[in-house]
Amino acid sequence: MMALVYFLNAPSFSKAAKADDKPKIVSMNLCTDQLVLLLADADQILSLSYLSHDERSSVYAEKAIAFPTNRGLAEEIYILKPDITVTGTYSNWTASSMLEQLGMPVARFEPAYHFDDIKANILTMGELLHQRAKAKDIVAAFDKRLSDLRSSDMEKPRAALYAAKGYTSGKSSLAHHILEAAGFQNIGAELGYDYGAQLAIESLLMTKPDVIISNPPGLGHARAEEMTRHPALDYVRAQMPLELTTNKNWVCDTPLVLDAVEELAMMRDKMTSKTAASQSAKGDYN
Amino acid sequence: MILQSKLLMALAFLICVLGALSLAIGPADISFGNSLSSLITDDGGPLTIVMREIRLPRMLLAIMVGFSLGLSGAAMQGYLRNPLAEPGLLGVSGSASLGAVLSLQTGFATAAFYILPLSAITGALLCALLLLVFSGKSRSTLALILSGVAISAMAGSLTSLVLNLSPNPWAASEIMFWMMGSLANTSFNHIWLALPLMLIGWAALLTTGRAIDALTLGEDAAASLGINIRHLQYKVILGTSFAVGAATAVAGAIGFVGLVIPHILRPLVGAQPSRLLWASGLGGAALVLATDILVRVIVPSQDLKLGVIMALIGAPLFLHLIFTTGRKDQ
Repeated sequence: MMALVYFLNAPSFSKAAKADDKPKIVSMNLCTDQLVLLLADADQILSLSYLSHDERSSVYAEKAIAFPTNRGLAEEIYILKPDITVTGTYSNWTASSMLEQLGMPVARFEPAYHFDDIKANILTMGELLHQRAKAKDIVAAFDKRLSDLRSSDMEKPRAALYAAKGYTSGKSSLAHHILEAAGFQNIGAELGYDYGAQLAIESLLMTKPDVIISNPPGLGHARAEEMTRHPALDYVRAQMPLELTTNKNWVCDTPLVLDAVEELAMMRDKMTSKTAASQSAKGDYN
Repeated sequence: MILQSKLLMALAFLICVLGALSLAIGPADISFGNSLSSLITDDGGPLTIVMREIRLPRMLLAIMVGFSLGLSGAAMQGYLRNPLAEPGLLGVSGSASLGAVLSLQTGFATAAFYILPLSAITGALLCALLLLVFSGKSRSTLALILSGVAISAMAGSLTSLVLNLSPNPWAASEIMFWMMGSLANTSFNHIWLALPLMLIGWAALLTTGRAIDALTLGEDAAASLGINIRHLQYKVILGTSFAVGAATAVAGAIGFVGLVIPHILRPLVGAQPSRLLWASGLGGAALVLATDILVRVIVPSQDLKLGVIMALIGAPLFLHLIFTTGRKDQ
C-alpha cells in the first residue's frame, strides 16, 4: 500500500531542497509529530502539534517539550515559513489546503494500517527531512526486531480488542497486526470486521475470548469507557494472567509499536506456558 | 378496594410478562427458552453470564427506575393537586443529572461508593427547593410549570457545559444520555448503587397516602383532620429527590413517565390520590420496561435513548393536559 499521499507544491519545495541546510519542518498531526521527532535534527523542527506535548498520547513527549506547538491553524504555520509542512490525511484539511494555496508545500501521511506502512512512512519522512540514512537504519532495526519478536508458536489465544463504546478493530487495522505478530488471533477479524465495528458486551462474551484488551481510562469520566469495565467481562479477565491495556505505543506509526508487540508476546507466553504446564502435569498424573 | 387489588395484580402480571420479554431481547442471538434456562441453571459458558450479569440487571433496573418515576409523579400530583406536576417537566430529573455529571467529572464520585447517587439526589433536592421559592404561595399551575421549565433548561445547559469542558473526548457525546436516559450496559453495580436510596424515597412517598387524600379537601380541612402539611411537604420533596435522584444517577433523566402513568391510571382508581401511589409505581415500571424493550427492537445495534420514545408518548398528552387544565381554571 502506498502510505503517503503526496501533494507537493513543486517549485517552492525544490527551492528548499537546493539549499545546503536541511529543510525546516512544521507538523500539524500527532503521528507526523512522532516521525519528525524520530528523524529530524533539533534545528529542523519549527513547530509540532499541541498533542505532541501530551504524555498520554505522544510517545516522544519528553523530546517534544523542547519545541513550540501549533493548533493546526493556517496563519500560525504560515508565519513560520517552513520549507515543508506535514500532517495526516484525515486531519487539518482546511488549514493544509489553505497553506497549499498560499504556495507552501504540504505532505500528507496516511495512518499506518500495517507494519509495511510504518516502514514506508519512516522512509518518506526521512526523504522529506534529508535524513535518508537515519531512516534506513531505523527501518532495518525495525525489521530485525519484528522478525525476532514474531512468534512461531502454533498455539494462538483468541484476543478481543475492546475500546470505548465497544469498538473493536478488524483485520485491516494496525492493532490487528500487532496482535497477530504477538501470536494472538484477533476476534474482530474472526467476526469479519475490516477496520472495526462496535460490538455489544453480550455479543463479545458470546465469542468466548481468552483475552480482552481495552484502552486505559482517560481523564474525567465517560460511560463509553465504563462499558469496557462492565462486571460481566470480569469473568474473562479473571482467566488472564495479567491485566493488559492498549497504550500510546499502539497509536502511531513509530518503531515503538514493537514495544506493544513485545508486551503482548510476554503475556501470550505466560498464557501458553501455563496451559502447557497444566497439560504436562496431567500427563505425569496419568 | 377489590377493584384496587385487581388493578395492582394486573399491573404486576404485566410487569412479569414484560420482564420475561426484556430478558429474551438482546444483540446476542439466544432463543427464548435457552435464555431463561441458562438464567436459572449455570451452564458454565458465556450464556449464563450474559443472562445474569447483563440482561437481568437491565430488566431489574427498568422496573426500579420506572417505579421511582411513576410513584414520584403520582405523589407530586397529589401533593400539588396539579396533574401537570412531574419530575421530568419540573426539572427535578435534569437537576439530578447535573448533580451526577458534576460529581463524575470532578472525580468526586470516585471518592466513595455512594457519592454519585447522593450528588444526583442533592441536585434534585436543590431543584425542589428552588421550585418552592419560585412558585411561592400562589399555588398557580402556570407559575409552577414555568419555574420547572426554566430550571430544566438551566440544568440542561449546565450539564452540557460541564460535559463539553471535560478532558475526556467521549464526555460531550454523553449529553444525550444525561438528558434522555438509557439502561444500556448497566450492571448489578448500578442496582446496588441506586436501590438503598430508592427504598428510602419509596418509603417516604408511599406513606403520604392519607395526607394527600385529605388534601383534596383543601389545606385547612386537611389540617383540621390532623394532617401536618409541613411534614407532608418534607416527605414529598425528600422522597421524590431520593427516588428520582437515585434513578437518574444510573439511568439518566427520563421524562414524562410520572405524567403519563398517573393520567392513565387515575380513572381506574376512582381518582383517589392515595390509591394512585402504588398503581403509578407499578405502571411506571411497566412503561419503562416496555420502552426499554422497544428501543432494543427499533434499533438493535445502537443505544436509542428511552427519552426519545417517552417524549413521543408524553408530549402530546402534556399538550392535551395543558388545554384541559386551562379550561377548568377559567
